[in-house]
Amino acid sequence: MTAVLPAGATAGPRPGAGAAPGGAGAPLVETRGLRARYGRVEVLHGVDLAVGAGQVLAVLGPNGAGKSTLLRVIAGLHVASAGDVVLGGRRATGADPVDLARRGLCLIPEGRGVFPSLTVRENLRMMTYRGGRSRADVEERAVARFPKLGQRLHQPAGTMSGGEQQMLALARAIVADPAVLLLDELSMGLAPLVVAELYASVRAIAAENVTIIVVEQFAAAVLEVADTAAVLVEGRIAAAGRPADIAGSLSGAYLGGRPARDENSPDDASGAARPGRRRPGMTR
Amino acid sequence: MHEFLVFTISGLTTAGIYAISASGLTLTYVTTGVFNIAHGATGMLAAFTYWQLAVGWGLPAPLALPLCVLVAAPLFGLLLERLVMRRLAGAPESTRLVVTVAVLVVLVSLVQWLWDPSTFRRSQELFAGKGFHLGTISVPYNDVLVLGVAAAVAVLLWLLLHHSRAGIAMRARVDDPSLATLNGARPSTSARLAWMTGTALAALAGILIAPKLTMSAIPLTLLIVNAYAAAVIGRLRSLPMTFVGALVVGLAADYAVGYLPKVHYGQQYLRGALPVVPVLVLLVALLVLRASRLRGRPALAVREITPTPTWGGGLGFCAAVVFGAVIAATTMSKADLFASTSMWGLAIVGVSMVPLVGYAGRISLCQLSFAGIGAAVVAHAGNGGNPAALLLAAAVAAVVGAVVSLPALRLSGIYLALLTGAFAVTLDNWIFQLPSFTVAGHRFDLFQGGTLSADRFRVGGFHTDSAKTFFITGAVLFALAALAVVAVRRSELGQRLIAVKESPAASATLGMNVRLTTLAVFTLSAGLAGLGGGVYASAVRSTTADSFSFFTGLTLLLLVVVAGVSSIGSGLAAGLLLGTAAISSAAGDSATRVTATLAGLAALALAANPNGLIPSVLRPAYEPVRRVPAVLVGSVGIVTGLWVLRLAHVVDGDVLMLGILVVAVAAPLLARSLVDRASGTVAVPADTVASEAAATAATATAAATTTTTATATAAAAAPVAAATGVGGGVVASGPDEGLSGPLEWLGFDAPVSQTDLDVLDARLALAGVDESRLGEVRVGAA
Ligand SMILES: Nc1ncnc2c1ncn2[C@@H]1O[C@H](COP(=O)(O)OP(=O)(O)OP(=O)(O)O)[C@@H](O)[C@H]1O
Ligand SMILES: [Mg+2]
Repeated sequence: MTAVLPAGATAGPRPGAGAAPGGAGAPLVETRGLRARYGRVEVLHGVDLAVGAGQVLAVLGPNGAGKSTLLRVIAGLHVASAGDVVLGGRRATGADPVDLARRGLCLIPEGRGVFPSLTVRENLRMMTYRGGRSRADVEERAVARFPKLGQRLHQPAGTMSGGEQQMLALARAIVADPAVLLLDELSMGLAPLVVAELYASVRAIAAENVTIIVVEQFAAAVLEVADTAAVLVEGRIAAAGRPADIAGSLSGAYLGGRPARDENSPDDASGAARPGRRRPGMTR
Repeated sequence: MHEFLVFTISGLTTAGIYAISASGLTLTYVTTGVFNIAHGATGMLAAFTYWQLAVGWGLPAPLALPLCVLVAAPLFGLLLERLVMRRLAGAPESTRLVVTVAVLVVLVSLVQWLWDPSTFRRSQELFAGKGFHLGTISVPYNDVLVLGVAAAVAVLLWLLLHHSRAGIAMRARVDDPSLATLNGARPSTSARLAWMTGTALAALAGILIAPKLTMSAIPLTLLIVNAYAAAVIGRLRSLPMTFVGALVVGLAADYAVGYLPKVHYGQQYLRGALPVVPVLVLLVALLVLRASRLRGRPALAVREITPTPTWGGGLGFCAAVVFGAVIAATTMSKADLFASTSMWGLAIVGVSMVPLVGYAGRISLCQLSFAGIGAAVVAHAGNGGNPAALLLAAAVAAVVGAVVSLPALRLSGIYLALLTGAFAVTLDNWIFQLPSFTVAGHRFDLFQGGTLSADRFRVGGFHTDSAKTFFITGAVLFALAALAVVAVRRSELGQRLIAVKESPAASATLGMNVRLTTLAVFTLSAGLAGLGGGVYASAVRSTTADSFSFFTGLTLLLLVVVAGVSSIGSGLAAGLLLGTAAISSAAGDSATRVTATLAGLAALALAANPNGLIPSVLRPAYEPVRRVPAVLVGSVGIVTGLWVLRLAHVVDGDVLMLGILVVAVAAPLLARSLVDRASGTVAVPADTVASEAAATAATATAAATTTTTATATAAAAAPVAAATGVGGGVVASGPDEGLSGPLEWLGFDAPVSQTDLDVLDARLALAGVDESRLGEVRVGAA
């Protein structure tokens, strides 16, 4: 429980704004040979990713590829079986999720990331755990971004529509002033119009130099926002690069259902041949 | 009118105390999901502590009260959370409930040990009973204070839960613990706060109510149990409704005290009803409140595994039981044997809980009350040792069980437990104590106002009068009951029970009649319990209603759940501990101390093994014995040999005992090493699957990093595991799960040996895979 985000992430200027420790352009979030398992089943088989400070990385991939697991491991909710999570140049593998959250790592989990039996106002209240933000301030900023929430402050969150619930969940990304934001399938079960609205907010957050990893099934919405993109298939990075390039290779990755790698290569374990090793975050 | 006002004022005070207690109960329930049966006992302990400080040591009340409520009680809550409650996340509801039963038993025996029950003590009302006059009525300051405190508690709790961040975090934790974590709220902080507040409120209520009675552990505990009725009226959720409930219960109780003695008709029957008035309110509340209002909390992911018992295993178990009973009956001294005859009746009652609590997941606190009914039937109908009385006992108990279950059908979880608990208390405190009465021309005299005597059975020339024959007959009856439970589990009904437990909604959509299934299992297990009661009654020959008290019933349930409520062996374990002289002879004078220690250990054991000791410790240890016939036959041979020598008076009882102990310890060790030798692996620790799997995993990890072929192996492993059903959704997640979970899901009895893995590989046509890499494949690779 020593390595977490640099102190700067807690208050004051965000690390994304200036030079991150370890030299200019060093990745703020990095995974090195990350492996994760549920019981005996390994679902991540050595994932190497890196996102530069203030950049947006889109992670795409079919169902069950391990995208959610990847985010859960980074956020500390699930313990990696091997490999490392590196935040701001420091090892954060196995850190307590509470500490990570309080230092500015914000995961909006899959499904509706709200407390259904608390009212909207109480949900917002829960989001003030990180550092001394006043209640009024939090409410004001959330409502400024999503005016609909302002009309529903006393409604139990569980009774709101899916889109409204997702707005409430995303409000956390706004009021928590995160250094790193992890978004898991914001679009799940939502109408295209609402999805567009949510991603407009994501773009606004990205413009404030927040480092974002966003997981999506549907590429179109997210590739517009992203600086870099990676495709995760069966727990391996099948492709990584600029969004435009990835868009081209997507159908292969999805339809083929196999990692785009040389099946005969005996040197797979070293990972040298895998594009994911190239640290997409650093290429720009 | 004057009288009415007096009762109203005292009723309001009682209501205030119930409200304080009930709101503490509700608070811990909504924020942690644990219904704390020991809530009343916590208050009782606080009352004794306060008595010690204020009366015993003469501390002034303004010092003693805060010391108890604000210091000692929260510390106790902290301890409870730390040692036990924290580890219960994801445990089956029966375990979560029974752990608190264990705490209750600990507290009651602790208090009886520290404060000699034979000494008379009385707690003082605050302000030394002084008061003021309101017209003609005198109002004690104490009552005014109680009402003021109750109101303050209401306001403070409301502020805490709705307007403080800590309180909101407590509620958030119930909705979604991991999301609360992501928001930066530490779940353990919320739970700790909830337990500290809950115990403080229990303590306050206990201290305030104590002056109404003399200081005595069980009555005080049960008195605060009345607050449960208030909590149920508040649907264990709403604090305002809880206060309304407290008002109803408090006033009803005090009006009953005031007016029931004035009823002219049937006084001798009604007198006993007084203490059960709040319980009756609870019964009515449970029956009247709409079912949708009484939904339990959504089931959390349960880490419970219910293995299907095999016929072979069941028969082997029963054979062993009867064999053991024969050895015991032929070698034990008359006195010991006499002290142990009651164990079989209790064992049958214990095994009656297996289908209901274990398979169907319905918690019943009144199995021993059904046994009491069975005992009464046998005492009345079994004159001259007619064995048909046993069948009649089972039938009558089954009918009563069916009737009780009718309102229970729509209830589940904690509400069902409370309903059955209320039923048990009503029987225990009122019905069983009734003098004789006549219904439709038939005279009933349940416990004949005290002691009930029953004859032992005779079938033709065979009679069970001697302790020896009765002991063996009891064992045979228990074995039959256990086999019946195995048959139930293996039948379609058994599968339905499991289905209904794991997903009531899915079962209903599959067209299953959930209610009929529940009714069936209730009837069945009540019948078994009735049979057990009948066997018990004729075992001890003369019995009192005390043997079937609510408190004893709780202890029995505790033992069964600790042993493992899904295993038939748990009944035997409960019978052995409760029905023989094992505990009392070992303990001697310090019986309460031993009980307290044992119950405390039970709570800790449950927190560590929520599924019980048999499935998680005993069965894995003895599993190899079954697979090595030589060891099995050898053990039986040695024991038989010793027994014959004992019968021939060549050796004495101690040698026999020692021999059996040695065999019991050595057989599993020997069998395990043989199994391991046969499969060619290095011996691994017998008890821990996790360590075995982890070790293999570690080798595999090492291999993966050094060999180039490892990745291919890893890739092969994922589909292997997926194909065998380990994949998505089935396996509970969480870092603490280690690697042990899925092995059972594969259908193996843990620990898994090399042979098992070889069989698996063969089935999956993986036998051709390079021998040197098998180990890596098996653990799902690194
Ligand atoms: N709690 C769990 N226990 C066991 N296996 C799990 C658990 N959670 C996920 N898995 C398995 O891990 C694999 C990866 O799951 P994950 O949720 O990370 O996929 P995903 O890429 O997010 O899929 P989706 O796009 O459907 O959300 C799946 O095969 C899934 O079945
Ligand atoms: Mg997902």
